[in-house]
Amino acid sequence: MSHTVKLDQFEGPLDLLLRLIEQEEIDITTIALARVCEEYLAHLAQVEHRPPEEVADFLVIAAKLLYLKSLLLVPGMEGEAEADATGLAEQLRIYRAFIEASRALEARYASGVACYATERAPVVTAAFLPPPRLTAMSLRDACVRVIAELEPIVRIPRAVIGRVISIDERITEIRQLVASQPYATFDDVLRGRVGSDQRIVSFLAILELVKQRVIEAEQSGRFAPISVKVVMETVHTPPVAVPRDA
Amino acid sequence: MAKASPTIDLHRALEALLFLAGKPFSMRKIAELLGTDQRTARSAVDAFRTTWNARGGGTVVAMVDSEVQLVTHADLHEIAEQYVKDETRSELTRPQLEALTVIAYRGPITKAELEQIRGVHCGLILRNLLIRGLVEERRDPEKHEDVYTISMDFLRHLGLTDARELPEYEHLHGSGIIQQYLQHVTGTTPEPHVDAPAV
Repeated sequence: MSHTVKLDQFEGPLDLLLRLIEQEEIDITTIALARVCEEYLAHLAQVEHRPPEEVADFLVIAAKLLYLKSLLLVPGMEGEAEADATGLAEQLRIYRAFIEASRALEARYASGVACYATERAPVVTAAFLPPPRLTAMSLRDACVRVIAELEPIVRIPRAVIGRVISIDERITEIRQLVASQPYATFDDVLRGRVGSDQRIVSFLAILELVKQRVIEAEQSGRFAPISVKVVMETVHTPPVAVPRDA
Repeated sequence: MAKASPTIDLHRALEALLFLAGKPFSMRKIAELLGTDQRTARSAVDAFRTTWNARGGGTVVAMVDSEVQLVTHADLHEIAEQYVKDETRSELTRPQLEALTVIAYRGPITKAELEQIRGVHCGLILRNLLIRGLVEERRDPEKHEDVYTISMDFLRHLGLTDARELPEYEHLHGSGIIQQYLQHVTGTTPEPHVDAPAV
């Protein structure tokens, strides 16, 4: 071959084949393929170190070339060779068309003429935006006001709960008291208890026990001492939580 | 005032959705949002695209396979680049370019068809292109095979709104010789992907 350029940069079997034919400056025909067969085979040595899959691809084309050449060597088989080689010649022509297209694509890609798109979906940010006149002091004042408003809400339920519990407790205590002595006064019941809360609770407890017919209460006149005594040995009824309006 | 036609309403809704979208819209998602079946959505998108892209505005509707995205017009790339930091455009090797070209012109294409055209195994290169987001893979329900298309990103890098704008697309996409050749070698009939034509 007059000008065998070293083709160590070929990408694949079709690339090699195409370069060999282009080097010869001939059209892609059956005859042309047969002509470059030897050269193609000569280049296979360079393929040995490639991955097995790639080597296989090269060998497939080599086999096609050899078959094609053998058909051309046998007199009277030229026609068959033409028909059979259509595959390879056609494959190479199609491949060349895409190679040419890829050069235009490469130029386009490299030119930087691109379309741009929104990078990501606009995120709706829920941001807290304080009014411009907001100061640390006004925040403090607002906080104090909120706490002040919370106070009664926090207190009231605690007082209610406390009273319910203490009435139950008082009922138990009064039961024990009247069980240990046949007769007691309201003052006895109140002994050791301080505060109007305790008076009210104790009084409500007595009213409840009267209602349950556990005790009898008597008062001879206004502001006179109230006497409390057991009605009888009752069937033990458990103390009942008293509703607030009892 | 005359009642707006349903088509006009679909077009307005599409414009709004495409304006909001931060990534390519699938036809399925569009149909879901518009409350139509996919065929209606597809023809609405096609019709909308045609009018929108023809009006000579700064944005155009790009489409690959069945994904749609509103993008800036290619001739505004310089001004757009000033705002968007140019996405680092990686170098492409010859084999990658070859494979991308075949996929761009012939997509959606199976691996077998791609290998038939290139004459080499393409498993590795496809995986590489997929990882780099230049190619997309999906299951073709009729072929029962994975098919490959170029990605919306790659289409944008080319400054195109559709692969059909590639030079000599008709010839390389659906040329009778390529059809016959692939049919001959693969024993199947690789139908070129035919979208409902917009016009």
